[in-house]
Amino acid sequence: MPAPLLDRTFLERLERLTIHWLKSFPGLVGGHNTSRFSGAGQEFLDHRHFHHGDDLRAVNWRAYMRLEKLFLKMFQVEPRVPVRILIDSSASMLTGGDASKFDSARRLAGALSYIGLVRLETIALQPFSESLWDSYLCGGGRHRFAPAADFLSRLEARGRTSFFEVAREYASAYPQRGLLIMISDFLAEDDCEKPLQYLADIGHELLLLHIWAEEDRVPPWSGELELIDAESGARLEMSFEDDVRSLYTGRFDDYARGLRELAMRKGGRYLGFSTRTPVEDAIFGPLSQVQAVS
Amino acid sequence: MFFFNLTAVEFLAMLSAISSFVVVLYLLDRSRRRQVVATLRFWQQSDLPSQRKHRRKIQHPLSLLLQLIALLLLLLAIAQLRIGAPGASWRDHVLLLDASAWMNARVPAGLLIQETRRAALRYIRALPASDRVMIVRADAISTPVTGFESNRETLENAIRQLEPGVSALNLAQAFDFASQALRLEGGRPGEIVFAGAGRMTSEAIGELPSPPRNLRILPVTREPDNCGFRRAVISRSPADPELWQTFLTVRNYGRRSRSLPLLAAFGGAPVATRRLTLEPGAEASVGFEFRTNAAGWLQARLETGDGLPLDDTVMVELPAHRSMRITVYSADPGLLRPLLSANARFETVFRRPGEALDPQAAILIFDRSPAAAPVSQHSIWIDPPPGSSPVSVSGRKQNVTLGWRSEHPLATGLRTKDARIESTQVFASAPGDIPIAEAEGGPVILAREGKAKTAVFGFHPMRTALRYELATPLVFANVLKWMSPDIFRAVELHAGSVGAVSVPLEEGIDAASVRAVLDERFQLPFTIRDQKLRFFSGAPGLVRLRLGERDLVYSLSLPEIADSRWEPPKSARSGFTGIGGVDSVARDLWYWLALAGGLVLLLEWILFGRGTALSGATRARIARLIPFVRQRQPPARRAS
Repeated sequence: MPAPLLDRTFLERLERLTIHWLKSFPGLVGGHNTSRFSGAGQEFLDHRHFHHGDDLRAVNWRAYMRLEKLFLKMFQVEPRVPVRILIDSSASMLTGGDASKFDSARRLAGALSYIGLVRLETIALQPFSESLWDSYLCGGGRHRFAPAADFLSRLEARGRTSFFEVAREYASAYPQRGLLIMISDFLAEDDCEKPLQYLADIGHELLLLHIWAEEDRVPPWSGELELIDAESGARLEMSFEDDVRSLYTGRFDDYARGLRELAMRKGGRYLGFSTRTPVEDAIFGPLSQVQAVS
Repeated sequence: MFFFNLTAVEFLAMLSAISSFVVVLYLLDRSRRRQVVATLRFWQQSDLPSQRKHRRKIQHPLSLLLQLIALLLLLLAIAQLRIGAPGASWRDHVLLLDASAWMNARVPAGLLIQETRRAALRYIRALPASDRVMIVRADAISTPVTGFESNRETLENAIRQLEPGVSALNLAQAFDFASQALRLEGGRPGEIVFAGAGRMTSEAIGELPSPPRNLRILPVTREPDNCGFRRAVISRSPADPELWQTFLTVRNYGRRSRSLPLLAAFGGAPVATRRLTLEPGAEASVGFEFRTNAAGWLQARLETGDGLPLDDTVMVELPAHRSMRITVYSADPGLLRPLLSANARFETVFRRPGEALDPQAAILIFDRSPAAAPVSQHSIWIDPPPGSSPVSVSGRKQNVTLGWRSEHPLATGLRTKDARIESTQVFASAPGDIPIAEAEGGPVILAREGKAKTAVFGFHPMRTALRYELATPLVFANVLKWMSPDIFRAVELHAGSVGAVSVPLEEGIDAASVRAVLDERFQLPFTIRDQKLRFFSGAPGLVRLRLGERDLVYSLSLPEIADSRWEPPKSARSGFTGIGGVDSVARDLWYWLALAGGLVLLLEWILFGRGTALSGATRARIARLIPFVRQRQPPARRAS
């Protein structure tokens, strides 16, 4: 029997957390403020006279029996900000030795899903690589977490990443604006900044969770190397020595800094951590500090 | 210069093989490693150096050169490269350390054994490090303390723990042992080294064969003055068992005349004092007598104040006097009184016939009288009345001629010529009975074995013509000795030194009956040759010899001090000269080579090692200090 995605103790610690977003999305009540508009919901708001075409299911039949007049019950509209978690499932997520980025991404997505389910949010789990894969929509409480965890556990990383294609498909598949949590190593042949900028421009709030392996940032090898790209299979032969290592690390840090600036510029947030950082520490550390969860 | 473990050809072959192996490993180490990465984005940056075109090319020749130099140095160290002639390699030596009793002597600089230890340690430290040494403890018996050992700490510990014994030095055996050890177990024979005073007995020096050619002497020349006991003999007076006759032998081992007081005490009470004047090398005997019937310790002490106190005191444990009680039931005690009172070991009691039996008596004699009760002790019946004889009487004969059955020990020495007995009872012997004397018709003196031994006389010897014959007291003595042999056993006490002891034997001693017992527990092996019994005891103890009717008790408590000094031959090397000569001819270089190899490896690791803790800048600075270090070439880049 495979080990569970998240253990029970960790899940119990997650129950007091809530996913926060910063923006007020068009057509919806943003943040966690209670809506002043009536509509479909669970909480009773008021009565009004029945008009032709109203939903008969909202008629207060007890009042009709007593007063012989049709009154319609009105309910408080619940804020339904869609939370969508994009999980990078490309082959590059499998590199990094024993602790792969893909495992960290799945555990992080699972933890965020559980936090949302506890708060009765609707969470869309959307894996991607070259394009969007089949998604999984979960909501309705913590008892719906087990199918979500199974979905995440069954995921297998493969293929190459194409952020342009993913952004295009996402924009057409999810027209309703919401919180977009992207968990990825953001390593692809093409550029990822423009697609992310595009998604932010059309109204999605970006929460970029950048996961890297230690060898992605500081390669431990030296000498004569034949490097193979995990996604494209491209090869590169080179001599890599200690004095070049710092140059490489500087390049990586520059790239991560660019992602952070993009997110900040577009009103989103960016968090980066290595696979050595446990998911527990990431949730209660950096994610809590930037008020992504609290 | 030569290689200790390898010939030059073997060395070069091994160096070539290992160097080739190292070069191959070096090239393999420098070969390209295949690695899957998440992206090539950062590797393809223009400011990163890229691949080299010829990957099999030696890229750091200095690194390879340093590795090969380190390999050469380490291989030379393993081969134990030496400067010198091949004959001057390691050797095996046997170091004989004098552990005789003489080494207990004290001189102004300390004990002689300490001086011996210092000489031995100095010799060990002067030897080349590769030489092996066997430490042998040399006293009466040569005993190896270590095997052939090159570990100097082990050897020095063995030397420091060596303590002298109490026996004398036997160099002949030590030289023989050392020669055999070198021949059988040693590698390249070295020296046989003797460290010590070389004090031996004159006999041992006379029997010493020519010493080995490779002998070296580390002499201990200090000679302390010493006077001491050599032996002591204590025995009971034959006439008076309570009188002890003591003879002490004292020797002056020194080179000046000494006048010494001697004090002897028994149980703490002085029994004799003497003053002895001894010339150098002279021995003197002192005799004195004292009377006691009690057991106790006799201690004799010489007030010498010399350097060897071990032989200044001699102590012997004296046994208590034992007597045997004989009760005679006779109406005419005057007949047997002279016969029984002649021996001081007998305590004779006379009672009238018919009195109650004496339970404390060892032997009962019934003179023409019956026993008042059944007899459970040994008994002698003389002309028993009819019906009271313990053996069957076949009749009485008159005027018979007596004949002795001398084949039995009971009749040993009995001789009479035409001895006639006027009247005697003749007994009917049963199987197992021992006839001592016979007349016509049967035995007239009969002995019977049993838990209580019995002897029956058919006549009273003191009432016949036999009373004038020597056979009469002899036959009584034989019967009494047969019944209680221990009371007739003579005890002689000797105090001597440990080692080999030679005891002269009387004629007629049955070798099968001789026993030697150490400390009343262990059978001690001995040899009998030329009427001498020889045994050896390497440790102090009490040895009891049973020689027929004589007991000799040897209290081996004195050290065996040799009386002469062995003079080594002039051909033998002496002192410490020439020990290090071998080392100066062939000098060990392996540790310097190993150190140099390690330093070269360390330098290579600092300059080119991957896992070094030094930063790149530090290594660059170190590399700049060495002008011949080639700067690394910026590689060209090639993407596949």
